[in-house]
Amino acid sequence: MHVRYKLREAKGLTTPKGPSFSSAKTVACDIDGTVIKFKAPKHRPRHSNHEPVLPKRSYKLDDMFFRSTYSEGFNVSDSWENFKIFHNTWAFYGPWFTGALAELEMYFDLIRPINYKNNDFSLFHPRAFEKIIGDYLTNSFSTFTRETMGGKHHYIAPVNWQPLSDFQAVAVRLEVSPDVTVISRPIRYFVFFPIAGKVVACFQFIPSQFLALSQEELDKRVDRSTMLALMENIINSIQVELSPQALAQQKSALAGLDDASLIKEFPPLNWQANTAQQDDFKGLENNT
Amino acid sequence: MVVRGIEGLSAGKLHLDNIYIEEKKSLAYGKGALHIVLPGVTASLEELPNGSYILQRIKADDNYQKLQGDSEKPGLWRVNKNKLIEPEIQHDGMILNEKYRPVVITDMANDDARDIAIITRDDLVTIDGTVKNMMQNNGFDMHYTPGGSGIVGLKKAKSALATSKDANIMQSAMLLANTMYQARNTEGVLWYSDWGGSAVLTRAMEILHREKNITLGNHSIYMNRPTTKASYALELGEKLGLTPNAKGMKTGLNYKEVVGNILVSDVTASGSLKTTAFGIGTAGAAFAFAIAGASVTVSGLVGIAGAMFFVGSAVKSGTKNLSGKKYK
Repeated sequence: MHVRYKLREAKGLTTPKGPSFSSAKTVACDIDGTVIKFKAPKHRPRHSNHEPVLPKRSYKLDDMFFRSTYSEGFNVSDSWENFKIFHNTWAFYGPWFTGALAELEMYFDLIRPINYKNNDFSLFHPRAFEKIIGDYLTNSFSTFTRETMGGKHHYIAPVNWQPLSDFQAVAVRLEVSPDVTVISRPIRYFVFFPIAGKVVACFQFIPSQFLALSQEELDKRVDRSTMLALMENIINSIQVELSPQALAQQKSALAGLDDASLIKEFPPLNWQANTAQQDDFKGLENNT
Repeated sequence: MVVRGIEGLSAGKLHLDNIYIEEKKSLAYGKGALHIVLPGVTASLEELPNGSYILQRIKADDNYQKLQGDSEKPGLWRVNKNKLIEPEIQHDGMILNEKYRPVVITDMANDDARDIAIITRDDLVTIDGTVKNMMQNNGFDMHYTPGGSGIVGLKKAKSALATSKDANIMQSAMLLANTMYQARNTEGVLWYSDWGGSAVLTRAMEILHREKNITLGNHSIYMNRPTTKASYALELGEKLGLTPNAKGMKTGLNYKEVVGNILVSDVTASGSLKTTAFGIGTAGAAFAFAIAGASVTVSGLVGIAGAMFFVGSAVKSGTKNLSGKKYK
C-alpha cells in the first residue's frame, strides 16, 4: 500500500517505496556520435506539474545552446555553461497512506568551462579533468556560507572520490556532502566524465527527505536506502561509447603519458583560503 | 523607516497571550522586567510604578538568523534560475532590485526551503509567459514560512496571537511587511501568494497600511487559491496602490477582524527612537496600546545585524522612558 495519497502522518522509521528499476527503460542519446545510455524509470514527480527534461535522440555539439550558469544576485562566476539533457524525479511513497516521504532527483547535464585564459587543455587528460572538476565544485558550492557561523561553508567537496574504470575515458564518481554542523541538506551524488575535449557529462542525484530537520532526525523517520538503491542501479547502467573523433582527441591528449588514470584520492578542497581572497578568486581560476 | 512591532509591550498587562514576551519577572506591585522577542531582535524593558516602560536593551538576535537559515523561522530566500543551485537566505529581507521581480509568499509547510523552492517554481511558471521568462532568466524571491500544515483562514485580532501557529503567521507577516517596504522603490514587483500564503500577505499589507505614506506603485499581487478572504486583501492592496490580480475563494478574514496593537517605530541615525502607534479596528481598539511621540534612546550597545528592524547603523546609548498610555 505505497500510494501517493496522504491521509495520515507517518510514525517512527518508515521505508518509502519508489518505482522499480526492473521496469526502467533505456534512455539513449547521441552527441556528435558519442552515445550515452542509461536506464531510468519513468518520471514520477511528487507534484504533477513538475516538468521532466527528456533528451532528443541526437545532438550536434555545435548546435547545442549552452546557457551560462551566471545568475544575478548570486555569487557565481560566469565561467561555466550548461546544457540540460535529462531530468526526472521519482517520489517515494510511505506505507499505508502516509503519502510522499522522499524524492530522488536526477539530472544529467553537459557542462563546459569557458573564459579560461589558457584554453589549451583537453579534458581527456587526467590532470586537466581533475583540475576542471575541482574548479567546477568550487564554483558551484564554495559560495554557500553561513554568515551567522563565521562564514563556514555549507558543503564539503569532493567526498568519496572514486575513479571509475569501466569507462573508455577518465570518469569519476564523487559526493558533495553538507557540513552537518552548518546546514541540513541532502548529500549530492555525482558522476563526471568527458565526452569531448571541452565538455563534461555530469550526472547528479539528490535524494531528498523534504523536512526541515537535521539529517540525524531525518534518518530516524525516513529510510534513504531505497532511494540510494535505485540510484546505484541507474549509475551502474550508465554506458558510454565515444565517437571516433572523441577517441582520436583522447589519443592525442594522452600521447606521451604513461599512466592515464585519475588520482586515487582527492581530499576535500580547502575553500577557506579562497574566501580570504574572494576578490582574487576569479583571477586564480582564469590563470589555469 | 522600517516597520517594526513592539506590540508585545501591552500584552502582559492586558491579558493577551503574546509569544513575543519571553520572560517576565514579577516584582512588587506587579511591576517587573519584560523581555520581548521580535523577529530578529530581542528587547528588554522594565516597567516602572507609574506605568511607563524603560527600554533597557535592544539587540539583534543572531540565533534568529541561524534559525532562518535552518528553515525554522520565516525569512526571505533568493532562488536561482537553476534548480541545482541552492536558494540563499536573505537576512536583510531585501529582494533583488530588478524590475518585475516575482516574489512568492508560500504557505506554511514543514518542508525544507529548498524543496519548497522547487515546488514553487513549478507553480510560478504556470501564471503567464512573462513571469516564466523572468524566472528562467533571473530566478525569483521567496518568502518562506515554516510550520505544520497550511494556513486556513485568518483569526480575529483578539486571537491573532492565541496559538503559536497564529503567532508564527504574525511574525512572518512582520518580516514580509519589512520586505515589501524595502522593495517599494523597485518597479513592478509581483507579490504572488500561494494557498495560505495569502494570510501572510494580507497581514503584511495590514501592517504596511498602517504605516503612513506608503504606496507600492506599480506592484501587483496575485493570489493563487487563497485560503483567506481575497476581497479584504484586495481592498488593502488598493489602498497601498497595488494592482490586484486575484482569484479564488473567499473565506476567513473579515474586514473588521484586524490585528490590534501594532506599534511602529523609527530609528534615525542620530539614535533617537521615534515611535508612533495606532489603535486599529473594532476589536483592536479596545486593546490598543499607544506610545505616541515618545523619544527613546536605547541603553547599552546595539549591534543590529541584517537591518531587519533597524536600518540605522547604530543606536547610541542613553535611557529614556517610554510613556505608557492605554485605551480602554
